[in-house]
Amino acid sequence: MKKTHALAAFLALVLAVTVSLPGAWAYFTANVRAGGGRTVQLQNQTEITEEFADWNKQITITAASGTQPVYVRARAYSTYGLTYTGEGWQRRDADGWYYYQTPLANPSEAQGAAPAWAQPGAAPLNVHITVEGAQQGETPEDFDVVVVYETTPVTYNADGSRVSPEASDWNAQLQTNGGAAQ
Amino acid sequence: MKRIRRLAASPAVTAGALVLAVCLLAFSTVGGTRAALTYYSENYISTVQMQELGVSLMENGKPVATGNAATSANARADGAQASALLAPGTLILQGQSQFEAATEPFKIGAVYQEQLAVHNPTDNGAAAAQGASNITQYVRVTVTRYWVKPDGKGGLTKSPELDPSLIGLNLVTGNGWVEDTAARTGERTVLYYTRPLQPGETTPVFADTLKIDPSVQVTVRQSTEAGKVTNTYVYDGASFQLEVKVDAVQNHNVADAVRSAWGRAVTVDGAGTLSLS
Repeated sequence: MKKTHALAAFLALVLAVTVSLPGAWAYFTANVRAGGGRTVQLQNQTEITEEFADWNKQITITAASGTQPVYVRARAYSTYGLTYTGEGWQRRDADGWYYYQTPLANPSEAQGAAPAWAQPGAAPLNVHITVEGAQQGETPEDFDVVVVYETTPVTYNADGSRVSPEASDWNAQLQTNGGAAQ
Repeated sequence: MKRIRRLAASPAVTAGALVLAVCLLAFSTVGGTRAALTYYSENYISTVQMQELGVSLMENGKPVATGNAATSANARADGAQASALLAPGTLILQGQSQFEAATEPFKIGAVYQEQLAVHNPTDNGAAAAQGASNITQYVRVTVTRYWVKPDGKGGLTKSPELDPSLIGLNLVTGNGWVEDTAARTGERTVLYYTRPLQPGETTPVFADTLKIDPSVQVTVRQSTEAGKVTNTYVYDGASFQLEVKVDAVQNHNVADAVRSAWGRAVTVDGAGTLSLS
């Protein structure tokens, strides 16, 4: 009988110690977490429309839906003399290209509103063709005026300001995992 | 004089004196009881003071997430497992006013202010309701960077093929923060603050700026079909994700507490400076 009592007392002691152990092992801890992100939109596609009348070629460039901010530049090549006019277009003497000073953008509805500093289409660029014979009332049998235009994504300086169209990298080479793209 | 003696010897006066003595005794006992209750009540208030451990993640000087283990019913009972995520935060990722217009796109190449720090909140702060703390603590942060893309089912799925190193969160060390290089992966960086963080104190920043590498604008996937070469922007439509987790632990038995709670062996010198073993 005494053994039974001693065993019961021992078990009670073990239980009491065991119950108190989690409290002794506990440490004060806390944690919090936060996260955020932004979506990168790079798609861009522009369309060019050319209309010819009275020895004048009118070039209109617009941004297709889903286009993120891009700069455009254009120039024409011909054996005849060419003169350029167009609001917002500015010639860079170093390379002969005409740069539209306002970025073009036309994000889709899902992509959100376009930035206030961009517009969906550029003002027309007029290329006037100077032909000596035509000026004298003669029409040459055929002639070529080739218009070339390029776009490049708008890039930003460290302070968030836009790099100007003239200073943008128009020769940036696309990269694939295997190296430069074609 | 005889009258006074006669009066004092009368049974009525004796009975009156007895009643008065009983009343005096009773009132003096009540007063003693009241005093004892007041005395022990004060002691009782002082003994229910509890220790609380809370922590806040600060972004550009503002708390974005605050948690306090004491506010979780199971926090103390679970010991080392105790934690409470009370305010899942959202990093604003907008540090400079010129970036904050609603229609502004995220500007690749621009340097965004992203100053991240850890605060030991007290009940004087705005975060008191969720994460008040009244003890010194040690903290670490785990920064995770990765890319996700739409999964076509309305959700987002992780894109491990996209390079997390292009998510340029500039981490700051040498100001009390040290990196656990053994825990570093391409996506994860773990930083420990080596000094004890007092209640009300804020650590120096462990990150200061965020910049997405401009190379995302020229990385394409090329495909050829019927002689037509198509270049597709690899990062178009992808979202970069930045997550920060802050862990806090008590300042008593720090080495054992860190080992138990975080699984990391550390040593703490006499000045309280923590070192990674």
